[in-house]
Amino acid sequence: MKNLNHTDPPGLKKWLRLFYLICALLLLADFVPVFHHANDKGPSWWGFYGIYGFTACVLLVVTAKLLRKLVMRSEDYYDEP
Amino acid sequence: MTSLSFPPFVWFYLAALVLPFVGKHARSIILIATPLLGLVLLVLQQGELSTGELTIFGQQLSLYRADKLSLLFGYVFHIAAFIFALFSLHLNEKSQHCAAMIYVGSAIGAIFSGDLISLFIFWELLALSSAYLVIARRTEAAIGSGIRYLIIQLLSGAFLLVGTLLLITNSGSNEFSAMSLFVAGEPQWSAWLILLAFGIKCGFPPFHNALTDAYPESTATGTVYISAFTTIVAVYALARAFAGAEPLIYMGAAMAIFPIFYAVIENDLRRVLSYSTINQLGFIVCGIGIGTELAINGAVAHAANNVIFKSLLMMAMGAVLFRVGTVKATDLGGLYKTMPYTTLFCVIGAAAISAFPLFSGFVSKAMILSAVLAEQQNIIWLMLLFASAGVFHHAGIKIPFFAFFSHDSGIRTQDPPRGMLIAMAIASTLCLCIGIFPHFLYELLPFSVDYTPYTSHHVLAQLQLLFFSALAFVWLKRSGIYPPEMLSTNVDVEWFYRHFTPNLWRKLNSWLSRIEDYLQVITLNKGKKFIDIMRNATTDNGWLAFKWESSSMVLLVVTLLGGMLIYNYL
Repeated sequence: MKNLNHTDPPGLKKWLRLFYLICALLLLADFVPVFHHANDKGPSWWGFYGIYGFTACVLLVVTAKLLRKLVMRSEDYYDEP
Repeated sequence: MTSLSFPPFVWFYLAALVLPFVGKHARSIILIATPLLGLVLLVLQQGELSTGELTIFGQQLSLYRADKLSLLFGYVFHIAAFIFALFSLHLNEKSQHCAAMIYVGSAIGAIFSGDLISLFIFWELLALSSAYLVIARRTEAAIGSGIRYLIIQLLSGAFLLVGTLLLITNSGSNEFSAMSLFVAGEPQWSAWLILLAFGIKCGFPPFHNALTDAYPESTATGTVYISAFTTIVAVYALARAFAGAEPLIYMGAAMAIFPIFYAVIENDLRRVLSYSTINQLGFIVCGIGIGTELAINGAVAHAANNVIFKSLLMMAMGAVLFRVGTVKATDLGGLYKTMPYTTLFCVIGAAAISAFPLFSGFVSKAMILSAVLAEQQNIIWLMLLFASAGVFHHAGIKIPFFAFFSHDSGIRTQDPPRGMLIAMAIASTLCLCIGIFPHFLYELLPFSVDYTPYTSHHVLAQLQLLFFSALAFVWLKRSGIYPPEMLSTNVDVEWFYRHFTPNLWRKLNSWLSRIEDYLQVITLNKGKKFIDIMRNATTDNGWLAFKWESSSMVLLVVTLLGGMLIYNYL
């Protein structure tokens, strides 16, 4: 893992900690029965949306990175004769 | 309402006629007053109008059909036109203002067209005026891009015309209403052609590069106009004619998915937004394809919201372009220090497009997703959910992050002129108001709504999806996996007509000229040889001109005469 912390603006760590806390709370909230009703449509098992969102984005970025190999050209590609 | 009752597009065309002849102050007043006047009249008229009918060449044209569907788009277009007029007030270029007025007028005219012929006329005027707004940037790239955009738009017009003529021949009616793609198992070619025409304007692949090519090349204000109206007119047309057409479900899902990959690796932030536009259109088209009341309501509501939040993001990028001169992610960063208001508005737009609870995107996208699920289209639902996470990733995070935060690029600038800021402020307010009080929007939808977006389950699900998408971004960025922004061109379908075909043509040309050279050399050489041979044959000792001896002549004559004598005796 590359350490990019030297470019971090001050206070970022604090914000990130708050962000991780919110993520954790959102997952925990899934245990609270108030958030689930019998007539809800769609999957309601624990953490589905969080896990799906995380996986989707990682897949998206990794695939997009591979896509670059296929489609990326120089900036003036279309200007060349 | 006797003296003022004209179809709403008339006011915009009149404004375009007057604008070239007035000074700066009068121009500003006309630009702002026209959409406001139009909106007031539209609300007062409430569908009652006597001057909307025309007969041309024996065809009945209906220029003002007002029902819930067209009125909603009518209201939204007027509000958007008002916001965009504010956004472009600083611009001191009459031709762009005129083109914009004609463009907005044509979009509104198309929305209220009750027949396919007037729709076609407005369709073509939209194409011409929007292409002008691209070319108006006057760079070589913009002119080329504008012409390519125009060709694709006119292609759509050509299909619409042929489809319309076929339909009139077959059914005798030019009415613009619901059409079936199949009747008793037989494909209706007129309907398919018209669907293709709408699809091309709506950015269906493989025609989507019209959007991604032209939007990033137009002017700071021009892009805001052309990205808001053209595709939404096409969406309206699809909702009017092809609600419930099954192919649209799959087309919509494809459109929601594939652009997000391009958006992640694209460097030009206005092109990122162009891909994002296609992605949003995908949700809408999918909803239209599902075709239930909830789905159509969701699609129409999302289209209306999309006009506002997408243009808010385009305006924010336009403001950056206006101040900094570029919107390339590689060149930007840290602008929040000097453009705080623009940053705030951009973040609101990003939250709205990502469908954060309390923002406008949430209350409309939720309807589409619920409708898809209600129809048991589970795979399509998973695809749209994937796309929703992707939207947040590329539009919600990437756009504000790389422009305004990220590393400090060292650029020190300032917020854009007041008109631009007020325009963005109004759009931001709308995004929030619709998100917090969705019933104002729901009341205007074509079908009566019994839908509650803010259930505890739904809010939690959406927050989980968004926050964990953001978590993925944070993790990928901090671990260095996230692809760095790079100066680059990413080739798409346009490669075929911008690179492959021109190159093939050039190659064919060079082959043809080589063949020509070869033939020329051969002909010259052989011709020369032939001439030499002929010349040699006719010179003194050549085989055609050598001297005959007189004895041989006598012998020949004797033989001939003798022969004839013998022949006579036989």
